[in-house]
Amino acid sequence: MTTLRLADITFAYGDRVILEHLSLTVADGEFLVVLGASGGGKTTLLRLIAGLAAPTTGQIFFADEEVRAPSPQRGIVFQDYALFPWYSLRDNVALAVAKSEPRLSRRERRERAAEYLRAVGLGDAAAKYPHELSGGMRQRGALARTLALGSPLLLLDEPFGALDPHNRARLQNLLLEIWRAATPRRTVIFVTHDIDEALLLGDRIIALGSNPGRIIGEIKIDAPRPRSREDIITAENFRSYRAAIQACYCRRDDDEAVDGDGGGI
Amino acid sequence: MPHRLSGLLLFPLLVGVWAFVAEILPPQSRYLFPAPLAVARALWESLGVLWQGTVASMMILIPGYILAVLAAVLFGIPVGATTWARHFFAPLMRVAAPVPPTVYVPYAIALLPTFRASAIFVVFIGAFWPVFLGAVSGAATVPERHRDNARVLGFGRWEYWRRVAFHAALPAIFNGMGVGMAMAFILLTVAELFGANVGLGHFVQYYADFADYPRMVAGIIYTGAVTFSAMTLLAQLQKRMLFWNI
Ligand SMILES: Nc1ncnc2c1ncn2[C@@H]1O[C@H](COP(=O)(O)OP(=O)(O)O)[C@@H](O)[C@H]1O
Ligand SMILES: [Mg+2]
Repeated sequence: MTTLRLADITFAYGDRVILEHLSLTVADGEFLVVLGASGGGKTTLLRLIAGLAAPTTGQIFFADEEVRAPSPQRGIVFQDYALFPWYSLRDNVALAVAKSEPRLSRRERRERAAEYLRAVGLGDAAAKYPHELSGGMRQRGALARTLALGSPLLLLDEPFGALDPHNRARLQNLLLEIWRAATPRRTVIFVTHDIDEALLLGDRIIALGSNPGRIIGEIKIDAPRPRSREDIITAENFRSYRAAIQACYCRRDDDEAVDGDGGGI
Repeated sequence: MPHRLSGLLLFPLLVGVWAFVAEILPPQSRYLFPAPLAVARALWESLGVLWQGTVASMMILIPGYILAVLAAVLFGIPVGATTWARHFFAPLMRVAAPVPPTVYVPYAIALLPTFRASAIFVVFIGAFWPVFLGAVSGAATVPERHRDNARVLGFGRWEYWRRVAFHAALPAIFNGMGVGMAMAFILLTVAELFGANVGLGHFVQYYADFADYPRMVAGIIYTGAVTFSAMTLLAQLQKRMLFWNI
């Protein structure tokens, strides 16, 4: 079943076209990775799906309704840590709980918030404020808040891009655990510029070319889960996925090449 | 730290210069420029009266200032966060805010029934505009990521004002509160010079009229100390409330 459908989207800032003739359908419960270079329009694409911006032409449908405004149905984790700095972690998450479970009392809300924080390994930090936390902890907090919104669609914009490799690996595992544990599964659209991350996480990878942004390739990853990080580097099937992705970019333009170790494109 | 401590050395230095100047002045102009010791004696003798004056002045300053801050924030956050309201009020702000509020003093004294009411009113006007401008500009320039967050969380208008715009505007509000506090003191003392029979401004005016300059200077120094204490208190409050803003 299709949950999200982009029908021939174009988006421009003035006469600068950022995304052009982009069509895409995402199935219920799918983990879709959008891979593309910096400045290629990945954030713009997520903002359109979230309803934070409107396409210049074309339409976006979510659960058979046209997207016209943001909604807690489509939760987003922004690229930069976007918790409210004036609220503690618990209060930040409790704001989301208040939307997904409006009938709870104030105390119950805070308890639910603490549960979400425990789920991302921040049980002990619930009373802390964002400025007291490391980048990884803040990004977990942002994830907890978006999970607390109860959105069936999660939009993640390079959520682990600013983290060190160790923390990034931990949060990737955490995200996969949370995604696989939930029934029904949430639909995830995960944006990254890192091929390894895309191969580890995605059911399907969309390669986005830039200037203007459009889909230049699509690879279905059939490898079973959980996937090992080692296989992603060495196993034969992943080598051919990687080659297929790189081929998309080479076909298109010589000065665009994908970098496998997260250094950007 | 060493810089701050060396700054404190300035005070004994200034007193020394003051004493020196008072000493070398010709005797006939000394009464206009009292020596530090004479002022200290006058200050000591007047402490009781000055304290009463402080209480009287605070009964004007505190209600006027608090009302001004409350009104400026309650009104300024929605105005700043709403594009049409911001445009609607922009001409008024440009015209009314820069008027030196001292010009209202004589009229307020004539218009309102008691001196206290008119003094509270001018303190209110003086403190209102800086805080209001701070609240409006702070609420108008909330970083996009906070606004996006609020929209994704499904915040309504009121929730946005209360949970996002207010907090984001708080640094600008506190800046306005500092300026507003200084304004409030100026207006308070000006109003008291005009029409009070107690209060700090009245004290200074009263002894100036009698040419009792040691007491007058003592009153100025005391008023300076009160102003300084109030500003320090405000700075402490700001540090506490903006702990997240680093
Ligand atoms: N508010 C804006 N006004 C004009 N151009 C913008 C704006 N925001 C982003 N862009 C441009 O749109 C392009 C795509 O940006 P973005 O979607 O953030 O890319 P990515 O997330 O893939 O790095 C970039 O070239 C950027 O300069
Ligand atoms: Mg981006």
